[in-house]
Amino acid sequence: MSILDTSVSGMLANSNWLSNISQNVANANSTGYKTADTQFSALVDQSPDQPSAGAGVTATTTSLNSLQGQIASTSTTTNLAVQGAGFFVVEDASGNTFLTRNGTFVPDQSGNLVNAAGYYLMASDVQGGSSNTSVNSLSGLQKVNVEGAADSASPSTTANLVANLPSTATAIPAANLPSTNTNPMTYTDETTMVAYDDLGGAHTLDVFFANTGPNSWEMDVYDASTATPGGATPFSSGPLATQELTFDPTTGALSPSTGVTTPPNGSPILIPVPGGQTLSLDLSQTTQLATAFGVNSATINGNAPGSLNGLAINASGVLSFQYSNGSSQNAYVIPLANVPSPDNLTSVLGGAYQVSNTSGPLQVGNAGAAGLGTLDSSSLENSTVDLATELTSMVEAQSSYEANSKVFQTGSDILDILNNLKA
Amino acid sequence: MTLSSAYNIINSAFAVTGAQSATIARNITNASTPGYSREIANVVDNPYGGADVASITREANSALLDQVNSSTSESASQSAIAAGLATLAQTVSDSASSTSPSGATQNGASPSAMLANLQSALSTYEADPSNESVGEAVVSAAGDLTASLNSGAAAVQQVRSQADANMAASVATINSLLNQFTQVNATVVNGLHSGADISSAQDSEDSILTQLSQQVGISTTTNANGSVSIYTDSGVTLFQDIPQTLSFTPSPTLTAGVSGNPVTVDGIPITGASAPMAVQSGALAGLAQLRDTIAPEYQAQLDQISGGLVNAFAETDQTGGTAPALPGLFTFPGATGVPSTTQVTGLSSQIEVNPNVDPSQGGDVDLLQNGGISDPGSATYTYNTTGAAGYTGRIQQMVSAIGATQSFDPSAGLGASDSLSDYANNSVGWLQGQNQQATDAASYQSSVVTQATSALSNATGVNLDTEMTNMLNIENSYTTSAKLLTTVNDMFSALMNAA
Amino acid sequence: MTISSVSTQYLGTVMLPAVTQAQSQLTTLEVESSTGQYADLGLQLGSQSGYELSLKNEYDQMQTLTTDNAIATTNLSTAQAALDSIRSGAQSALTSLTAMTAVSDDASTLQTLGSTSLQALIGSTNTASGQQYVFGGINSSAAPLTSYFSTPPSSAQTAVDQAFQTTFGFPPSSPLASSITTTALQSFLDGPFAAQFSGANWSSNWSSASSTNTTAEIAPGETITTSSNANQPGFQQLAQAYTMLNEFGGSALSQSAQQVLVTTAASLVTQGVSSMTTTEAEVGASLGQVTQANAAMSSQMTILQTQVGNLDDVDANSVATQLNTLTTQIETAYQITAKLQELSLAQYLPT
Repeated sequence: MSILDTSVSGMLANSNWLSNISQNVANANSTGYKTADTQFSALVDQSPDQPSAGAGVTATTTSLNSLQGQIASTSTTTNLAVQGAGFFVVEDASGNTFLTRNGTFVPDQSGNLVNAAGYYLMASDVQGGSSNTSVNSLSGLQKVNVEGAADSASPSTTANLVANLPSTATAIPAANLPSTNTNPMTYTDETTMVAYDDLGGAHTLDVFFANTGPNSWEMDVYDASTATPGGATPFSSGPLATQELTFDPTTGALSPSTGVTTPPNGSPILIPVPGGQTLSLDLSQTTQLATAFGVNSATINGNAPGSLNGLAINASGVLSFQYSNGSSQNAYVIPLANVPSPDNLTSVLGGAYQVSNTSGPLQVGNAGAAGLGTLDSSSLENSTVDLATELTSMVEAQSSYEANSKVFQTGSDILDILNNLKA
Repeated sequence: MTLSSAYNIINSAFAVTGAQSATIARNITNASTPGYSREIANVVDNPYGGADVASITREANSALLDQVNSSTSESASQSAIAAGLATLAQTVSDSASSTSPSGATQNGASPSAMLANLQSALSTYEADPSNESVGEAVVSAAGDLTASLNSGAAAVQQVRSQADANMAASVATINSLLNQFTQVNATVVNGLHSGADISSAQDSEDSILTQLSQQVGISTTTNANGSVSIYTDSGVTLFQDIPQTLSFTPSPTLTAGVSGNPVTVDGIPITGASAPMAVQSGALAGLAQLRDTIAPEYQAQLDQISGGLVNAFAETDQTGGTAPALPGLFTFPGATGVPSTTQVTGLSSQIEVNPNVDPSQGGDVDLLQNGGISDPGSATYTYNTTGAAGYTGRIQQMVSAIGATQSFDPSAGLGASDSLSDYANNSVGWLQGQNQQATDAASYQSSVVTQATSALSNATGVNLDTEMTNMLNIENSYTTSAKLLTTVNDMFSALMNAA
Repeated sequence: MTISSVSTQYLGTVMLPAVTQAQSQLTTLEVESSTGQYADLGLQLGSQSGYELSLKNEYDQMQTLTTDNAIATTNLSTAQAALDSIRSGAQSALTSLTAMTAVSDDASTLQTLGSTSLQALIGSTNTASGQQYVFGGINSSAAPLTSYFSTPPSSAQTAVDQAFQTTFGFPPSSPLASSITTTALQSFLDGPFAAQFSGANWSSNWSSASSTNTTAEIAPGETITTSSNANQPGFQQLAQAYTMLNEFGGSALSQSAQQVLVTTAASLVTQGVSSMTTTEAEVGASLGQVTQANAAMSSQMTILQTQVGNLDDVDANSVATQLNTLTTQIETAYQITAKLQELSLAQYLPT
């Protein structure tokens, strides 16, 4: 009798529901877990030329993969969470690609970032230049490795000096100017800058300013290591750069010198750093006003070698290494992947998902691009399970199961009567 | 938003109040630490639940800090100068007379006072020239005068050597402070980069800068990455990513005419009158000024007084011949003639009473009356040709020579022509005037420092009452969150019991 | 300045500078109240120290000169007294001489008159004040007039006798003296005899005084002579008169020759008296100068003392008032500090 089949299907459906509920309650604290939702749909017995008869209920489980869980803060920099749509691209130990929202990534003993379920984070490597990944494909992605980053040094190539030279200075005779490298050297003012060569070694550059007449100055740059020990002059080699500077008498700003064509107003000045690159020193904001000599700002790029100090991951998924010398270098770009129908992804062990026939093709992109969410570092995505709802559902499922079992009981009682009619 | 999410939010509430309490505890602990700036935990709303401590910022006021540093430098340089001048002024101090309130009697041991005593002794000798004991009194007064000049020169040398030694100590302090600053600066730059809490590192930075400003006047610039560059107030670089080393060679003995070495940074001298980029403030500047300008000027004045004495008491050829003038009552070792006004460097430590007239060294006191101290027994320099016992001509000459106009070297800072006693008085006046100026300036500057430090403390320091009030607030939040937790728990229990 | 927030450190230390300053001021005031002068004169006067020292120098100098002037005064007074006695002795001799012109047979009287007067003259001229012979000039350590009456005979006596012997061929004690004519005697007395009392003969046989008088400074910039000397004409004239009486008064001169002797002696004594008067006047003038100088210096010293007092002294009243004010200030500061310590929220929270 169909009553038995229907009630059995009802009990089965409800026990499915209960098992989903218990799955949800068990995973109420799993990172990146998405609630398993149970949908009931009626079954219909369809024979040709016969009206449809009820055939029970079937329960289908959908994993609500597109729900956003709450973001909680942690203290581990490599813990990631996605805010919005998108999944991390991960690989298991045998090299198969999966998607997951579980961002509990920490470095393992070889430095690869692996989450609590044993999946390795994949990203494109941008160390030493641009990446070789292409859009919308998983080729070129590698495991993110945060160890063994080499000490980095970078040479100085640009510098900016904003200083004020006193307009009340007296001229120095031509025979004693710093460019003549005589002893003792006569100059009006002096400052130093530290430049770095190709290997990250620091070189102190002595910058001398000497007044040669009204509104007219000479600037000389010497390598301080070539100075006479115990004194400044004479240097064992000539100046690295010499430049005439002229200032406008009405504004005090740097103005073109007569007879000097390159550079047009004395700035920028090209200085060959010993053992390094050519340093382009920008003096365009230096002034000549009626106040004492002072340096307002002196910036120069480049740094000495430093050791790896830490990581930082920004909202676009760029993982950068931070060095003890204060510089940082971009190392990896962590992409996000999405499918047109995330709820249809196949769930696998450890909170990961696989692309299935019904989920649609994989689309890979950078975090923050159109349609994808952003990355949060030092954060984890909590499970979307609400215990209160699940408990309520549990009560509902239980009573529904009881009702179905009551119907089964009644059906079975009716059959009993039927069977006992013969006696 | 579900009931489960309420747990998460309450969690974040506890974390935030915990962080805030920790910040308040740190503030309270360091309420009396000088140089500590109070910290504030910045709490922001987290759209996905609860609140976050976005950062811990530090209350800082760089304008006030600059004021504190610059006034500290000024005060340090002025007190260095005042201390040295006070030592010098002690050698010429006129102590209060204990016999009469307005005792006009000369007191103290300055060369000027001793010169007045010599003049009195000579006047008494003039009235009673045949009295041997009065003559000996003149010789002893002359001895007191040379002793005063010698001790004045010794005091100058001592002040200069002490200033030189203090400069060496100051340079060592600056170098060690710059090394400390290197490490702290790197910590700050890294911390800014990685978002770590750098408040205590920044406090250390400020404290090192203030200590540095005591030694030498500084100005600072901050780069985009948070690294601080330090320059002297004259523009010489002291620190830019790496510290520059100051070098200084101390001179253990600084006699008259010997100038000490300058302090150099990377070969560039930063002290000394001829340095193009000399520091303007800080203990280093004050000590250098004391050692190179002020003390040598007083030394020059003492030397001029000594030269004037030798010249005033010199003996000339009495026979009408062309024999040169020779030192008489006052002479110096190895003298072959009288020095000119530009040849007297260091004379004040060498001047002595001529042994030919000093009875304790076998000399003859009568040579004072008769002349011939420079060359006893020679007729060329004998004034009392008749040998009369009542001859006072030479003594009268000596008395009037003290008050006669002489020429002096104007580079010593006083006039070019003056009488010896006026010159000596003016020298005392100059020294006491400098002393007064320096003492006033030092006390004014130290009050400026106190004011600036108070202003900075008010702007950035901890007020215990405010922190207590905040603590009460946070305690309430915590209690409320705990209550919330209990309520949510109760709600869950109700649900469990219903099912 | 506007304060929007106050730190606890500031509250704890705000009274500190005021208290420290007040305490150091207190020590200075204590010194000032006990000595009546500024505690650190040099610091107080600054560049005026030179001026103050010059005032004290002047005062010192004048005080020394005032003390030293006593010596000059003593010397001059002694000289004056000696001159007075010489002059009165000469006047009484003159009186005796005038009375003797009319009486004959006064040989022994004349001689006695001459010898006593000469001894008195030498004695008075050799007056000493302390170690100095007041008529020695700058040669104050030697007795100005050599003793005439000595055994063996002094060179002066020998020289006079020699002159007589040379002129007349026999000594003064010879009875041949009665043969000397008045003219011869007169020319002898005016010529060779007078020559013994001037020039080289005087300085070698009679006087070891210097013709240069001693000088001394009696006031700043004022120097005067502080003695006379035995080479003044008065001494020479009187010595000449007395010697001639002593040597030739007892000789066997004729009546008229004796008269010539008496007359010559009398006129010399008269000249001597007037010279002595002049000398005495000079010495008196010097004494007056010294007294005047002392008086001027004394009034100047009073002015100087006032000027120095203006610079050095503190007003006792203001010092006492300042002491009171400071003590009150310090006490108030202590009270405020104690009160500030109590102002803490922790005191008012329920436990």
